[in-house]
Amino acid sequence: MVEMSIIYAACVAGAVGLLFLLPRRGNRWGLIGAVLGAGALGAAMLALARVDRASGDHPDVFFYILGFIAVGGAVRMISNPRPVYAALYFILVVLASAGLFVQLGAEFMAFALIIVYAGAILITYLFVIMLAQEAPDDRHPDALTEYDAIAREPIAATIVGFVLLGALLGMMYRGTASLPAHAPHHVADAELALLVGKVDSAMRGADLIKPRETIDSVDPEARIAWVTSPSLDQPRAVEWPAGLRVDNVDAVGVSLLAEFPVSLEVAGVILMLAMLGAVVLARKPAGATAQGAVQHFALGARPRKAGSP
Amino acid sequence: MTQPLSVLALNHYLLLSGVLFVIGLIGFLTRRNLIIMFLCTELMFQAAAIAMIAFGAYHGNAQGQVFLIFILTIAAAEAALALALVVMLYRRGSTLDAETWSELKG
Amino acid sequence: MHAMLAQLGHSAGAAAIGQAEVFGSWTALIPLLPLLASIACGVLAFRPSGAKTKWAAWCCIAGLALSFVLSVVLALNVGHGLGHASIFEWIRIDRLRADFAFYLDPLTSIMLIVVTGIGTLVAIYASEYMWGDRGYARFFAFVSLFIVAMTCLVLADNLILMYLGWEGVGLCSYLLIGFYYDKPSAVAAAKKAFIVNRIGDLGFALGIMLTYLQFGSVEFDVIFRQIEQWTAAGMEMSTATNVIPFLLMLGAFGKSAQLPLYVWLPDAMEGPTPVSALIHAATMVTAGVYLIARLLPLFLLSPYALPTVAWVGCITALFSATIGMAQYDLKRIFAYSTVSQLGYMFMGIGVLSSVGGTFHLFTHAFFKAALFLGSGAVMHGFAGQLDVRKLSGLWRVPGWQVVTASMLVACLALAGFPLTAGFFSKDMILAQAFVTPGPGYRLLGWIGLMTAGLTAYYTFRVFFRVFLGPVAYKPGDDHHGAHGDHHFHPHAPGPAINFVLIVLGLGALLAGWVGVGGGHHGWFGGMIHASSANYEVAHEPGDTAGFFGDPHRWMMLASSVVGILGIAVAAYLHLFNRAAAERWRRAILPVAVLAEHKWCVDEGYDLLIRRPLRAMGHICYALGDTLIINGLVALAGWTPRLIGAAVRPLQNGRLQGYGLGMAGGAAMLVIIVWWML
Repeated sequence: MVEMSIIYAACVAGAVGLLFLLPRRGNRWGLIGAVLGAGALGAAMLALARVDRASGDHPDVFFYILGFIAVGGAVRMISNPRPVYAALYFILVVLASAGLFVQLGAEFMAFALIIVYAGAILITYLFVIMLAQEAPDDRHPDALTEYDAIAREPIAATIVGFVLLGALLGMMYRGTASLPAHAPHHVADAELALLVGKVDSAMRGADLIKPRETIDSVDPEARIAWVTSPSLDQPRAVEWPAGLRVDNVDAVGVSLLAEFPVSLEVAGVILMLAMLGAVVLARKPAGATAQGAVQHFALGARPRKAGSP
Repeated sequence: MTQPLSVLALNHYLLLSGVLFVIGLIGFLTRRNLIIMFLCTELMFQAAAIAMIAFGAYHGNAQGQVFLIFILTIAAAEAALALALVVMLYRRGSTLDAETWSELKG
Repeated sequence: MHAMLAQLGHSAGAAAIGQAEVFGSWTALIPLLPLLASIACGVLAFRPSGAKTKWAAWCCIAGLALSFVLSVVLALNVGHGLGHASIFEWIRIDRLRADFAFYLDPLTSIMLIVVTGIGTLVAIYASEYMWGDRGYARFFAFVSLFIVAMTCLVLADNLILMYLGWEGVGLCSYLLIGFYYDKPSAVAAAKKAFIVNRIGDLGFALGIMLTYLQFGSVEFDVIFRQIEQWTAAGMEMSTATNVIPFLLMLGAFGKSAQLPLYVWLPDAMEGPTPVSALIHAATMVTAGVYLIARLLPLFLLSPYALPTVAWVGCITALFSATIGMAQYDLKRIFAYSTVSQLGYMFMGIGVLSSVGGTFHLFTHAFFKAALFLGSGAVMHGFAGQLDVRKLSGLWRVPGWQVVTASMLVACLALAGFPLTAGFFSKDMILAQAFVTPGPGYRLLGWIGLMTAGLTAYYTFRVFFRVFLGPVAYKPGDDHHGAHGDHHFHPHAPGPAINFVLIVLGLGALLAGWVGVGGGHHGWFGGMIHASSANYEVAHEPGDTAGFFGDPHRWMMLASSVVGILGIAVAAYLHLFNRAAAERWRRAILPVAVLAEHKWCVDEGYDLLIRRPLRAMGHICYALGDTLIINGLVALAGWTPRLIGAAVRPLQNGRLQGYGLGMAGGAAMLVIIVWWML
C-alpha cells in the first residue's frame, strides 16, 4: 500500500528531523530539522488524505492548523533546552488540543483541559521549575546546565520512538480499515430519556405543557414526551421543541453518573490520596531537612514534636 | 453534538495522537531534566487523550470524554506527587539531572 | 489340538490353586514379631543404658522364639500340601501384581523352621556372647531385622516380595559385617560384601524383570501354572526362558558365595561370630539355594541352566576346600568350608537332586552353626585368638568339654562321618550325580567325592589342632591390658553358650535321620517332593550301570571310606606328628603358600577387573566428566555469565535507559503481534 509506505518514509524523515532538533551544543541544524519534520508530518497527512473517499469526509482545515500547532509545540517542548520554555510550549500543545477537542464536539473537555492542565498543573510545573532551577554559574544567570543543554542518547531514543510510531500506526490503520466509515447509527439525543427534567423545563418554556401537567416518560426515538394531565385518563404525546438537544455537558454528565459511577468515586479517592501523599512528602518537621522527613516517615516513626531537637 | 467522525478523519487524529505520543516518549528518553521528563509524560497523556476523544467522537458517545476525566485525574495526582518528589530530590542532590540517581539501580 | 492342551493345562492349574489352603493373616506374625523385636531393640539401642541391660536380648529371643513356634505350627498345618496367605495388597500396577502374600509349601516350612530355629538359638547364644559390647542392643535389632527379611524372602509368593527380603538380608548382612564400624577391616569387608552382592542382585533384578516380561506375572503359582501349560503343550522355548535362569543364577551365586562371586564370604567373618553362624553359614547364604529350589520349574525350562549350576557348585566346592586346607584362621577355615558346602548344595540341585540340595542345606545349618558358635566360644574365651597354630588341647582346659564335644560332633557331620547329619545329605547329592544323566555328571560325582575327603581333612585339621594335643594357647589381641600374657586365664563359656552348643550338636548328630527311610528319602524327601522343588527323577537302582546295586548304598560306603581316610590323614599330620605336617608343607611350599593366599583370586580380580575398571574410570573421568560433563556444566554456568556481562551495562540505573528498553520492547511486541495477526 502506497500510503503506508509514505507514512513509514515520513516516520524516517520525522526521526531525522527530530534528531536535528534535539538540544546539543552549537546546534546549527535546527532549521533543517524543523523543515524536515514539518514536511514529514505534511507528507503523512497527505498520504492519509489519499485514502479512499468512501471511508468518509476529511477533517476540516482547523484540524490541520491545530494539529501543526500541537506537533510543533510538542517538538519545541522537547527540543528547547530551557525548562520554562518547555512548560510554556506544553501550554501551547494543551491549547491546540483543546481546540481539537472543540472540533470533535467535546467542548466541556476542552475547557476542562485548559483549566486543569494549562491553569493548574502547568502552573505547578512552572512553580517547581522556578523552585528547583539553578544556574550553573553565578556570573552568567542565563547559562544552561549541562543536563539541560545536551540530550542524552538522542539517536537510540529517536530510532526506538519512531519504530514504535511506525508499528503503532501500522497497527492502527490495519484496525481502523476494518471499521465502517461511520459508526453504526444510534438514536440521537438518547440521553434525554434520562434527562426528563431538561425536557420538562424546555417544554414548559415553550408552553407546550400546562402547569398542572407532568411528563410521564420521554421517547427520544419519536422525539415526543408522554404527558399526563389530571383532566385526561390517557397520557398524551407531545412533540419536543425542535431546538431541544443534548449538549456535550449533558452527555458527559449522564455517561459519568449513569455509566461509570464507581469509577468516578475511585477517581475521587485517587485525588484525595494524591493530596495526602503530597502533604506527607512536603511536610518538613522543624529542625529536619526534607530528606530527613522522608527517612523519618519511611521508617514508620511518629513525627517528632515541633521544637524538639 | 456535531456530526460523528468518519474513519478517515479518525485516522488523522490517530496519526496526530501517535506523533505526539512518540515525541513525548523521545523527550522522556532524551531529556535529562527530571521536570521536563515529567512534562513529557504529560505530553504522552495528552496524546492518549486526543485518541480517546477521537474514538469517542467516532462512536458518537461520551465515553471517550469520561475516560479523559480519569486521565486528568491521574495526571493531576501524578503531577502533585511527582513534583513533590522532584523537589525533594532536588533538595537532596541540588540537581535535577536524572543520572544523579543512577546508583539507585536495583 | 493345541488349544485343547492349553485348556487342559489351564484347568489343571486352576485345580492346583483350588487345592491351596488359605491361611489367615496370623501368618504375618512370623515376620511381624521379629520386626517388633527389632524396633524395640532399636529403641533400646538409642538409650544410653541399652548396652547395660539384657532387655534387648530378651526382646529378640522372645520375638524369634514365638516366630519359631508359629513356624512350626504353620509347618504342621501346611503338612505336605500347598498353602497361601494374603496379608495385604502391596503393588498393583496394571498387570503387575505383587501382594504381600505368602506361598506356603513344605519347602517354605522347612526353610522357616531352619531360619527361625537357628535364629533363636543364635540369639540365645549371643545374649551371652555379645554381653558387654557397647552395641549390644544394636546387634539384636539387626539380628531381628535380618530374621524379618529372611522370613519375607522365604515366605514370599512373588518375586518382588522375595527380592525385598533378598535385599533386606543383604542390608542386614552389610550392617552386621560392619558391626564393629570402628575397625577398618570390618568396614572394608562390609563394603566388599555389599558390592559383590550388588553384582549378583543386578542379575536377580534383571531376571525378575525378564520373568515378568515373559510370564506377565511375578507370582510363583501363576508362573508355575504357565510353565506347566507350556510344557504340556510342548511349546518351543524362547531365548528368554534360557536367559532368565542364568540371570537368577547370578543372584543366587552372589548371595550364596559361589564362584566367581564367593570372595565376600570369607571376609564377612569380620562380623561378630553369632552373625557368622546365623547369616554367613546357616541361613542367608543358603538363600541362593532356596531361590533355585523354589524356582526349579523355571530352571528346568532351560537345558543349560542346571548343568551350569551343578558345575559351578562342584568347582566352587573343590576350589574353596583347597583354600580351606591352607588357612590358619579358625573362622576363615569354616568360611571356606561354608562356600564349599554351598557348592555341594548347588551341585545337588544341579544334578536334579533337589531333595539332596535342600537336605544338605538343612543339615548344614545345624553343624555349621555349631562349628561357628564353637569357634566363637573359643574366640570369646581366648581373647579373640583364632589362629589354629596358637591354640592346642582345649579339651583339657577346664570348662571347655561341652564346646569340644559339640565341635567334635559338628566336625564329624561336616566330614561326612557315617550316621551323622552331613553323611546322609552329602551322600544323597553324590549318589544322584552318578545317577542323573547329564554333561559330565559322573565326573562331578568323583570330584565331589574327592572334595568330601578334603573336607574331612581340613575339618579335623582344625579339630585335632585346637582341641586335642598338648595344652598350649596364646591369647589374642582383644584381652584387657590389665593382666599380661602370664596371667591369662581363658574364661569358659557360660550356660547359654553351652546350652546352644548342646542343642546344635544334637541337631548335627540327628538331623540326618529325617531324610532316611521310606522310598524317597524319608520324611524330608516327602516334604520336598510336595513342594515346587519337586522333580521326578529315576530312582530305580537298575540304571546304575557300572556300580554295584543301589547308588545310595554304594555311595554311603565310598564316602565313609573317603571321610575316614581324610580324618586319618588329619590325625596323623595334626595330632600325632605335627612336625610331619610342617615338613609336608615345606615340600609343597609354593602350592601351600598359594592356597594360603586363596589362590590369589582377590589379587586376580584386582588385576583383571578392578584395575581395568579403575583405568576406564579414570579415562571416563578425564574424557567424560572433566571434558564433556564439566565442560557442559561450566558452559551452563558461563552462558548466563557471558550474557550477563553483555547486558550488564544496560542495567545502568538510568531511568531513561530502562525507558528506552521498555519502549523498544513495546515496539517489538507491537510488531510481533502485527505479524502474527
